Amino acid sequence: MPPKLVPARSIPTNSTGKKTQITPKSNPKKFTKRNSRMGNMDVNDDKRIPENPEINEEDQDDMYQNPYQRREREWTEEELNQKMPTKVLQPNNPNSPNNFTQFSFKDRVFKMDEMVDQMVIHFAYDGEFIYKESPEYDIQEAIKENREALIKEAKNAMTADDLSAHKEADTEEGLKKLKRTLRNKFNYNERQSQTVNEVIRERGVSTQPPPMKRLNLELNLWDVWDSYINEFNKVSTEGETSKAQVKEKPEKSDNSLYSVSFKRCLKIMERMVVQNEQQEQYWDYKYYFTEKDMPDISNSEGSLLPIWRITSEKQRKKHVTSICWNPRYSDFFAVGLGSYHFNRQAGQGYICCYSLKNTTYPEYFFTTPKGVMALDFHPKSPALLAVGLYDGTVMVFDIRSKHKKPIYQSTVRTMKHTEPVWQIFWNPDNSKNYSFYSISSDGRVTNWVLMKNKLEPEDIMKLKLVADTHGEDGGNLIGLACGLCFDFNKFEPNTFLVGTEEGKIHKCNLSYSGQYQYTFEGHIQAVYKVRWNYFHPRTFISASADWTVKIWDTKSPGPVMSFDLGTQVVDVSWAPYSSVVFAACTLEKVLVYDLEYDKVGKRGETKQPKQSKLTNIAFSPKDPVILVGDDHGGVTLFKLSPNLTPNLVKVPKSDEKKIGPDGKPIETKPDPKAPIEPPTPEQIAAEEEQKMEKILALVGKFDKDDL
Amino acid sequence: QMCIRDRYQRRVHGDYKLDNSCTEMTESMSTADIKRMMIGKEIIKEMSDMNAEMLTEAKDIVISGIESNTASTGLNMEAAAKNIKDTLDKKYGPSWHVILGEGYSFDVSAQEKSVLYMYYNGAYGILIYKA
Repeated sequence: MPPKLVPARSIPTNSTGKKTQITPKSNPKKFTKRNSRMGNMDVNDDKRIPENPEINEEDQDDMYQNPYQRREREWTEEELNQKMPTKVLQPNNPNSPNNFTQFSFKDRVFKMDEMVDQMVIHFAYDGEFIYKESPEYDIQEAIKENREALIKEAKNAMTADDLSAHKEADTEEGLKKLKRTLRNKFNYNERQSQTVNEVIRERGVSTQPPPMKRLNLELNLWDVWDSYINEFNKVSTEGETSKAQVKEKPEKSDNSLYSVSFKRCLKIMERMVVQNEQQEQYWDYKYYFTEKDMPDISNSEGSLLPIWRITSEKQRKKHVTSICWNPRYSDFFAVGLGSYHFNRQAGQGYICCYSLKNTTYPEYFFTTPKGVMALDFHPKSPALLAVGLYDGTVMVFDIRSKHKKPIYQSTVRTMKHTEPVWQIFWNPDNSKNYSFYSISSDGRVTNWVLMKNKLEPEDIMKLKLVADTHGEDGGNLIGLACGLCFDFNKFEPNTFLVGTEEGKIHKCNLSYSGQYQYTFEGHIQAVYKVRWNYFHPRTFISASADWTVKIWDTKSPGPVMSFDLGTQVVDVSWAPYSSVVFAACTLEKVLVYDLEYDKVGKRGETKQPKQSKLTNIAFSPKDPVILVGDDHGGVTLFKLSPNLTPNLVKVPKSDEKKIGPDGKPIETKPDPKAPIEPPTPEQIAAEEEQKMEKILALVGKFDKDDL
Repeated sequence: QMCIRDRYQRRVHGDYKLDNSCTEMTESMSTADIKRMMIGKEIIKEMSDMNAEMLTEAKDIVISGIESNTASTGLNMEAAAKNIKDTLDKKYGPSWHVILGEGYSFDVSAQEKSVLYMYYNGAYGILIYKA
């Protein structure tokens, strides 16, 4: 049984100084109380407290002895007087485990071992004494003997070698050598020195490694395929969006929105909408002047009612240079747009073909590289449109064609005009190929024949400069005159008139290409228009920049009648229904003259509301309607009052002298209910001719009187 | 090789249609046409993060490396890869890694701004990086 010890710790005595007994078994000489810091714990159970039996009394406050216990509890008397529990020392190592488990490979199972080594070595020190009777002493002795034996041997060997080698030699030398080898203090000196050690320093630098990142991916063939496909499609969609607007329409042929029949439906709808919206204008166009029955219109002033101003956005900056009604469709007309400015030829020219059924937008629209100066429809094939441009080119368009290009075009090689083409006229004779005439400021009147794939030019006439007959010796004039207008006679198809910039009007013949048949002089400045009378074979009218409009008779050298309009006259035109009615266009207004009514003054006039100058007029061949073009790209449609259009409607057969104003039956008719026979065209023609003759006769009489 | 590719297509994609945005150009074309279109064309994937001039240079080196090692019998991949790596080392400094093949996967740590991953000719995937 192990001896029981008590830890020798002194406990502070309480105030009374009493020392109480701890245990009866304790050493009677030393009663010590337990350290208050221990508390009420059961020492047996507390394995943490190291059991150190050699503690001094004075070490009670040594924290080092009790590193775990820091209690500062106050002890009461009763607690202090309590019996201390017995403290038993155990030989177990408190730090050792209770059991020890190990895997046994033989049994393939974890085996627990209760027998744990409890030995703790606190201090070990190897001594320097060996027990003489132990085996270690024997080993030590053996080593020592061995060493001595080796030394002896070495010594013997050394001396033996030396002596044996130099036996015959001088023994003194051998002794000397021996002595030399045996180093002693008297012969042998050792010297040492130490060099300065270099100071060694360690330097270290640590750089940051380059930033790395991890990548991981898998490469498959299908991935490659997909990415290629995506790339191709992306590229193609990008390319397509840029070309989409251009190509969209023809490509979407299967799309019902863009089919031809839908287009047609849209067109009809558009027309209906326009007509509904502009209903008033259409009513005016059709019925104005017939409803209002002016009582005595035959003797009153006429008026022109403006109905529409037909224009579109693109046209706004351009001048209307020519207007032409279609010979077959009475509601269709073409407007040529260009510029009269010499310097500012603003690029393209337009040809707009309008129909009166839809006045908001042209039915056909063509662009030409230069400004359009002249237009003409073919009388028999109403889809052919001949066009003359500012740079002298002539083109022929087929307005039905889908791509807006001319079917014929003249180029420099085909002898196009070098100056603007001012007028164009189709040859009404189409026994052979179609052909048309053009006149230009370069002094040539050219006939263009439409061959298979090109235009064949043929110079009809070169306009020679003619000196003034009344003037002084003008000398010889070199060069060609500038032709501005021409017109073919309906009754003598080979004869034509040419108006020049010099103010002379020449009568020429197709057969005589070299010379003029006659020259009419009277205008001082450029002649802008010449027109033959539709009914009278010898009369023609001319408009000039010298503010006058003159009527001529081929019989007489000078003008028969002359009207001074006060400003430049840009256009003049006979009315197609009468031989005595004509309209003249100045920069500001259109004046309609009726020679039968008034031989001096006008019968009707218009006034342009907007600040634009007028450029052209064109009578409609069928309706009492006149188109006036202006320099803002707009075309105004005027309706003529019935007193300006006396013969357009039915004329009673019986009445030759007094012409009824319109078809409504008036008091002169005997039988209002009886059907009135419309006069035949020949009758009208004959009548008109008569009228003109009368007028000419009258005027001629005046002249003679004057003279 | 062409068979395998087609088989891949059919097996993986089956008969499904690509979504509308993709069908426009290639749907109408036959596979042969598409493959013909792919010849000579390279696609650089988003993983590549070189700066622009280095990218074009590297791309050119890769393409020329492949082209110069393509004999009539096909592409000699080892020689091409070696070629590319040597050129890159000379040009941009040591320790480039070049991986060239038709099907592989990888998980590498590479220096930033020195990675190029591209497809070429509709068949080869080339990864080059510096490490």
